[in-house]
Amino acid sequence: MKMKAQYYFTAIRLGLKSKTIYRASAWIGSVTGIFGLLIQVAIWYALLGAGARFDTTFQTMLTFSILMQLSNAFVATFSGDAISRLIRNGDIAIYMARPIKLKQHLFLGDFGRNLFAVFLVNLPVCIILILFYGFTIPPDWRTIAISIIMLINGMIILFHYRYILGLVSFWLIQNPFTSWGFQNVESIFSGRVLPIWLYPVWLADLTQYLPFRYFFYEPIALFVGKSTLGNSMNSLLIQCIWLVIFVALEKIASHFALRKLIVQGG
Amino acid sequence: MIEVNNVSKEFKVYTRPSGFINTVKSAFWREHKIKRAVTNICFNIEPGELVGYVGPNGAGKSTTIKMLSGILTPSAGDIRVLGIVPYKQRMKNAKNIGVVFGQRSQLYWDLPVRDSFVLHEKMYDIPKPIFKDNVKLFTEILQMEEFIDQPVRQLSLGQKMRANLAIALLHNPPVIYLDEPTVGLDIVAKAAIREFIKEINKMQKTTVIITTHDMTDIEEICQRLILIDKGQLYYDGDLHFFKQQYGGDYVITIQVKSNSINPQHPMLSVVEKEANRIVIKGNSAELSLVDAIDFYNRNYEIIDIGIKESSIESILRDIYTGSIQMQQ
Repeated sequence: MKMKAQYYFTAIRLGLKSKTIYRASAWIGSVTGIFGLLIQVAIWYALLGAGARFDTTFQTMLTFSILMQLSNAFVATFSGDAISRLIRNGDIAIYMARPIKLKQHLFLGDFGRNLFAVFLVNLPVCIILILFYGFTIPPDWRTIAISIIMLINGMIILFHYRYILGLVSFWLIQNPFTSWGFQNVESIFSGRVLPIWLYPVWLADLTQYLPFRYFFYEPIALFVGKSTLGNSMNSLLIQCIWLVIFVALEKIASHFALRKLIVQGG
Repeated sequence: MIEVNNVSKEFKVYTRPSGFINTVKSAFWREHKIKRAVTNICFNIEPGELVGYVGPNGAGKSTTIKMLSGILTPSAGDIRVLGIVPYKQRMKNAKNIGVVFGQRSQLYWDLPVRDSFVLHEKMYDIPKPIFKDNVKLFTEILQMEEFIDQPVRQLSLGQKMRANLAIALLHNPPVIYLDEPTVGLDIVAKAAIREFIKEINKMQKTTVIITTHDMTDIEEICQRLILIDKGQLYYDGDLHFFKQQYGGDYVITIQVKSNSINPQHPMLSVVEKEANRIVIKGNSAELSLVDAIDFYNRNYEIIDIGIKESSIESILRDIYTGSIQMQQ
């Protein structure tokens, strides 16, 4: 157990270290990554200003956008691209000959690399925004606790979801699910850019049958007071069901992917 | 230690017909055929053996190594490495083996070699003293002092290969698979790697299976040869015996004191002849090399002699081109 923890720590540390090797690229990538948040904040400020529309205040939207940005930055995963690349160039053989799970290895590396963007760019910018415009904190500690639990759950579900999409590369070699267009579909149904409480009813209803809103939307909606603790317990249950489904799907897909594996290039 | 029984591996290969109509058709339906990479291979390897696994391109060497490593699942047959079925217990098997793929790297491209070693230490739960001793030992034998703290991307091919070999052995695996470990290396780097492999086998009794197209690797490292072609096993046995059985040709250059030399032995053929120098060719199945030399020694006063026996490379070339027919 201790050795396993040491491996996790080392893999995360080396992921972070590899990100800092190309400093200029890391800074530019991280800074451009925060532009989305700044643009969103500017739009919400222009739309809502000091007042409230659609039962939403600017501060609610600022809190929503900051939490959404940070949650996504922690689990910005490239495992789909990574698996696709490993399959195409045959380097998957190296990973399969090691006493580790590919999923673990990719997650730890991504997590380490993400720490750069989270701590050196995202957090400082978010703190500045909070200092200028404030931040909505729920009055009830139970709401905070459940939100955090749901956020962590959401991160695990999101990673599994993207990893399963990555496993498609074992069958298709060229993975269509890592494309920008497909990620936009995920973005719409997850309420990442526009909160689902602002969606038309039919679209909001549709999102309930899909896993995407349970990544981060539900915990953040609870945190900013757009969902009640009672509703969130229901969402937590659905989140757990999605978690079980994705973990099971990942195990089945991994099992068959290995049997399907063809190492390209000898 | 390693048991391979009736192992076969099939792949689905999609055909790609040419022409516009066929290209459009292939967007909806593709035809495929089944390619057998390995067919009913059987062999057993004992602890500490040094085995050369050879064959022409596409013979199925790398496929076998990948099945032994647990990377590929056999279509049929049974494989056990130290009692473990590799593809069923991939991670447990991985702890017992070291793998070097000559055309791929285990090292972190952007980070110094030492960082990859440290990650490997944690990944394989290597006890600290063993890790420290091995890093020190391998750094010394493979002369890695000058580049162990350099990023991998700045290393030459030979340096990368030395580091890859070292990392594959850091956890003291009882078995190591080397898939073309000397490909693309210069003669100095090749010699260093061959010495290292022999040294590790001697020190730790590591079982080594090596696939290569450089037959000097085989001649210098291996005691046993397994030859496959088109996925089928053609030879499994002692390397020396293989040379005797399928080679046996020799060429002798003899220079004598007298001004005239006349070959008379019916079992020897003349390749080249000058006044006091002759180049003759024979085969040890018909006349042994010792007897051939003795024949000239009895009739002439020899002042210089040169002997060239058929190499593994020349024998294999003859086998691959069909000049020597082998039975399965």
